[in-house]
Amino acid sequence: MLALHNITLRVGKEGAEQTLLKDVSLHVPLGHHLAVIGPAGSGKSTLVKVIAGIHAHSEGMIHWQGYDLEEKDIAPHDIGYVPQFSIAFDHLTVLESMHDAMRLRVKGMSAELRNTRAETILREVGLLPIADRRVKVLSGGEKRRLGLALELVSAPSLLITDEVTSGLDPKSEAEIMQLLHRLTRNRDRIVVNIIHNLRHISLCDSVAVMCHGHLVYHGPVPQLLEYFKVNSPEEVFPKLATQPAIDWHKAWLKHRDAYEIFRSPMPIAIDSRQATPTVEAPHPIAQFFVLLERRWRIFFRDRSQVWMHLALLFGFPCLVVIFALEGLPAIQNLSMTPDVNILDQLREANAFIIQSTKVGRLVSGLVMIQVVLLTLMGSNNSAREIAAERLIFEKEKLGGLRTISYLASKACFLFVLLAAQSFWMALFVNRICRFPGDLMSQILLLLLANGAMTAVCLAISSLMKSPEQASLVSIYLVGFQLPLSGAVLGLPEAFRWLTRPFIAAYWSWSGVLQTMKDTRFYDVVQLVTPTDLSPLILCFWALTCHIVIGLMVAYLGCKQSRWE
Amino acid sequence: MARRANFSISPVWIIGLILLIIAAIEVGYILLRKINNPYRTTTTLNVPAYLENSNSLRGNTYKVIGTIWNSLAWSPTAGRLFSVEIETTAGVSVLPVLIPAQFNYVTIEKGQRFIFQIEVDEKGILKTKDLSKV
Repeated sequence: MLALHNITLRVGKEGAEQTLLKDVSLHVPLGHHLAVIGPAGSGKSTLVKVIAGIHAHSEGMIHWQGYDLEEKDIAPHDIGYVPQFSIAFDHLTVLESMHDAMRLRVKGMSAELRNTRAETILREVGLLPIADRRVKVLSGGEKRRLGLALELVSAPSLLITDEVTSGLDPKSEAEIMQLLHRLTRNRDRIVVNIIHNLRHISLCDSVAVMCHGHLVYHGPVPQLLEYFKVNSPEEVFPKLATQPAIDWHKAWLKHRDAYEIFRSPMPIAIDSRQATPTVEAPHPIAQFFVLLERRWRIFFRDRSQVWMHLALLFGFPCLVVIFALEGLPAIQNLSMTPDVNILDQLREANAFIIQSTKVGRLVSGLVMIQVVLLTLMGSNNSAREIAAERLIFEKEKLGGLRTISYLASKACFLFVLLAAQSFWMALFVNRICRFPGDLMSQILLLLLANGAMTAVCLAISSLMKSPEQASLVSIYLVGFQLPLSGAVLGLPEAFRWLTRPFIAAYWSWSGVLQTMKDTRFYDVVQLVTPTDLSPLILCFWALTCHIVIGLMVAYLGCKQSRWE
Repeated sequence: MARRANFSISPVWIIGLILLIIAAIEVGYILLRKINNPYRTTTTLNVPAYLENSNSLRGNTYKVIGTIWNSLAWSPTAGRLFSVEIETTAGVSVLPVLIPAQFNYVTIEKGQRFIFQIEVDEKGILKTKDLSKV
């Protein structure tokens, strides 16, 4: 049984609180199809989100199978929530979405079993004829049906649907309502179904009427008309407007014993045998591989994304080498014999300063352009990665997806991209410009710079409310790299020590220059640069810290619920 | 206890993360001090004392940071002798520093800055035991 006891939900800060739900109590037995109805803004969606655990209620208790959900939450496979938004990836087909959902939610299903189950569910929801169609070409109604199908893969005991029939044609609507009704007939499932159109309300076992956050009726459908003294369900909403919601609620509290026939005074916990889940969630490693494989599939299906990455991969290194197509110029050293006359010494020193300034700026600039372009690629790699699919991720988390599997799959996917970008950038520039120094160290430093920015932008992506916001913040972060690196203009001493730890471009730039320490280029860079260079080992340490801390923040950002 | 779908970051996590960042910066600072000063356990050469009486410092090892000024002499077996400009609290001094043949692989040019680990040999000459570019 699902039992709600005096559920109240308040939002906003103290003093400016808004009550979205007030003293909602209802009891729903197993094998029951509950319709939740009410005018727009009455709290229907809020109520089902509280049941699903998406919103934390301020007061009251929710019991499922006799257990307080604050103490023991519903097992991930045992709850299905079909929200109003699409919960499938546009670039995947209907069938692929079903397979992925099963691989992420149900342990140990063979490919054959998955095929059979997917076919059965898709037939039930009426999507079998278009199983090979991509999600992006589905209509709104078809997407909602797919959402329902995806939730049915683990055969949940509690299925919550938020206007799943909206946007469907009358025939499809009737079919879905009949399906939801059928799902509750085996007596071990509850369907809580928000509906807008009351045409098929007779297929529900009971109806809960919400009005301005108050429950104003919950009882059998036939008694609804009698209670509100109306001739058809459609007349209920205009009737609700005839008096304040609180009055309807008070009236309901007086009469509910007569209508709410499913009430149980004390929640009874079911025995442990029954409580044992029959479906197990896959191992986190199995989920990781499913997610990684899915990410690559989506990547290659999105042609514009592939072309853009290729353009950046090959275009950005060209942007660097155009400044030194002939390679780095040789440096003519000062004569070291003391017998040169003073005039020649001055002339020589003057020529050396002009030459070293030019070469020093060129070398320092080339390294910095490389680094900044790679940080830009890093930002482009990851800024939208989580934020763009956040709602789907939240939905999958509710269904049992582990945050660590998700983040690890993102990290692995992004690592391949950034490794290709950094390796090609270092190799191409090194070969064309004939950069001195240890190539492997340079590759590693550029990889770490790209990785640092990728990890930090992934963290931003996990914390931001929208992909646009995440992109904007990430681009600002890249924009700050060049001025705050100190490579072009020297920063004030105090400011330098304050910002330096957080500027990945500085550490990579400084590190790459350190790899040239045994050459004259290092000396001339030191002559022209306003900023001191840090030791190589410190550069590695700083960039590694950026990556580790970035991933840790990304983990926390992913762990945190963000349904809005 | 919050339900699974309603997890929020606790302040403990945030404090832990801030402490981790501070620890990472602290480790970086320790690394910087150690690496920037490879001969941190070696005493800095007292230039006025050396100029006054180099014999009194014989057999001792010191460190000194200086800029290469001129090449004074070269021998394939003995090494290279440079005049090195050394900044001290008392001002700038130019001292001869012998870089033995074992360091012939190091390219040394005018204007380069090095940190030298030097020994005052029996003749009072500053003989390089190790050197590293600054």
